[in-house]
Amino acid sequence: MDNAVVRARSDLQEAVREIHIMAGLGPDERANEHERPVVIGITSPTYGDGKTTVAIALAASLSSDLGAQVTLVDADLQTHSIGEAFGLHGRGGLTDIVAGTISLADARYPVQGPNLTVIGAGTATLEAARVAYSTALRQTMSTIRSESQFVIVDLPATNHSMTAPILAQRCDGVVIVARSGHSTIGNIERVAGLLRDTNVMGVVINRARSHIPAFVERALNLRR
Amino acid sequence: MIPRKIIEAFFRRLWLIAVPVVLVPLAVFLLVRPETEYQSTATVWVDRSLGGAALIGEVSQWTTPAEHQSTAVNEMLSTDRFRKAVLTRAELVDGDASRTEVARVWRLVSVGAAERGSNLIAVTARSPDPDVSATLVDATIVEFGERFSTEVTRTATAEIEHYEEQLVLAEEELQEREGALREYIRANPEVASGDAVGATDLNYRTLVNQVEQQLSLVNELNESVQSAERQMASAPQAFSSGFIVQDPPEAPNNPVPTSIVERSGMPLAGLALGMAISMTYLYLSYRTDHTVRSAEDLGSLGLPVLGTVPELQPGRGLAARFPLGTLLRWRRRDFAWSAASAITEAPPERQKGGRDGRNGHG
Repeated sequence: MDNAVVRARSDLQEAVREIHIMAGLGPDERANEHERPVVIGITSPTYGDGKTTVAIALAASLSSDLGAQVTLVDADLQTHSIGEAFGLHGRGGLTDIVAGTISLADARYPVQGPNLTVIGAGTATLEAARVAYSTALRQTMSTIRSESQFVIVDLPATNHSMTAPILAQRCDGVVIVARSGHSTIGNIERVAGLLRDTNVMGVVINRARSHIPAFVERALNLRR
Repeated sequence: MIPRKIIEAFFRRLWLIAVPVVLVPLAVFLLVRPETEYQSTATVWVDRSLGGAALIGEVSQWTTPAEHQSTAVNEMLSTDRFRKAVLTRAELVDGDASRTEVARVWRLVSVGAAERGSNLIAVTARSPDPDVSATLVDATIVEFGERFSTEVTRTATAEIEHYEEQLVLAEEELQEREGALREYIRANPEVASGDAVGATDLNYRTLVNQVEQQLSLVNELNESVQSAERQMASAPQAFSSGFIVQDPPEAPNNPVPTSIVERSGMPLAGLALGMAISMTYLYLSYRTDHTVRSAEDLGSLGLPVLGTVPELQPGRGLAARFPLGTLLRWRRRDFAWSAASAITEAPPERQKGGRDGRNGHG
C-alpha cells in the first residue's frame, strides 16, 4: 500500500471514529441497542462534497472496528459512485432488485472480508423517483436491514436530486456531508429543510484544512 | 473572542494580504522620495543707509536693517518679473520665456533671504544642481542691486524734474520781486542811500524781505536738484556700500541632508494605506465567506457536528501545494476512495490494478 494512502487512511479512520462516537454508533453498554440507528443515509448539498468517501469510510470502519456486518448501498442512481469506487460497473444492483431481474443475494458483492458487502446502483434503466417511491425498495431495504447490523446508504446530493429526501425517509438517520470552504451555510440549511421529515443526525465537515499555525490556535484558544 | 473564520481567512490569504502592505509603501517610497537638493548661501552685510528708495521703503526704527532688507528681497522674489530676471541672469530660461515656463523652472528651485542678525542676511538658493544653486544666489544679489539702482534713478529723476519745475517758477517770482524792488528804489532813491531812511521805510523793507525769501527758496530748490542728481549718480555705489557680500556663494559639494521624518513620512503613510487596504480585503473576505469551515459556522443551524474529515492529499510537501497540488487535484477523489477502502484490513484489489478482481465477487 502506498505510503500516502496509509497516512490518509489513518487520518480518515480517526476522523470516522469520531463520527462513531458523536453519532452513537459505537458499542455502548449503557445505550439501548434498539435505539441505535441501523440504516444511515449519507447525503450532501452538491456533488463532489465527499459523501461517497464518507460513506465508504464509515462502512469500512464499522465493519473493521466493530466487526459488524455492514452493507454499503449505492442509492445515488445518477453518479453510481460506490459502484465506480468498487468497480461494479455492469453488475446488477439496487435498480435490478427493484425491477425484479436479480435477487438481493446476487446483488451483494462482498469486499475486503466477510463483514462488508456492497450493493451497487445496478444496470436497470428506471426512473430514480420511481425507484425511491417503490414498494420493492422498501421491502429490499427492510431485508437488508434485517441481515445487517449497519446499512450505509450513499444518497444522491440533496440539492441536485429530489429523490434524496425520499430515499432518506427509508433511513433511520441521515448524515449531511459539508465540504469545507465550499458548502455554504445556506446550502446546508436548504438540505436540512428538505430532510425535515427525516432524522438528521448531524453534519460531517469534509476536506477540512486549517491554514492557522498550531501556535496561533493555542494562543487564541480556537475551536476546530 | 476572535472568530476562527477571520483568523482562517487571514492565514489562508496571507500572501494576498501581505502584497498591499509591502507594495504600497514601496511604490510610495519610489514615487515620492525627496529629491537630492544642493544649497548655496551668501552672507550679506546690509546698512540702514539703503533706506529711502521706493524699493526698500522707509526704514523703521523698530526693525533692524537685516529684517528690512530680507523682507525686501523676499517680496521682490515673490514677483514674476523679478523671478524671470533672476532665472534669465542664471541662464536657466531665455529672455523671451513665457510666464508658464518661468513658473515651471521656478518650481524646481527655491530662493529666499533670511536675517541672521541685525545687519546680516543670508540669501539662499536650492536646486538639484550644485552649480545652479550658487549661480542663483549670485543672480539674485546682482539683480536686486540693479533693481535698487534703477529704482533710485527713477525716484531721483522724478525729484529732479519736480524741483526744476519749481525752480523755474521760483526764479520767475524772484525776478518779479527784484523788479518791483528796483522800481521802488528808482521812485524813492533815498531808501537805498544806506542811512536811517531806508531802514524805516516799511514798504522798502517788505520788498527787500520778499526778495530775500524768494532767493532763499531758489537756493533751496537748487540744493534739492543737486542732491537728487547726486543720489542718482551715486546709486550703484550706495548699493555697494550698503549691501556688502561678506561670504560669496559657493557650489556645494554635498546635497542637503533630509531629515528622517521627511524621508520616512510618506512611506509610513503608504504603509498605513497598504494596511488599510489589506484589512479591508480581509474584512470583505471574512464577511463574504458564507461557507462552512468549522463547527463554529454551523452553530446558527442547530445541527451537531459529528466529525471533521481532513483533506486527504495525494502528495505531500510541494506536491500538495500550488501549482502541483492544483494539477493533482483530479486525483483526490480516487485517492480518497482508496484511503476509505483501505480502512478494512485488506486493501481493495483496485490498488493493485485489475478492476475485476477488486470486489472479490465471482
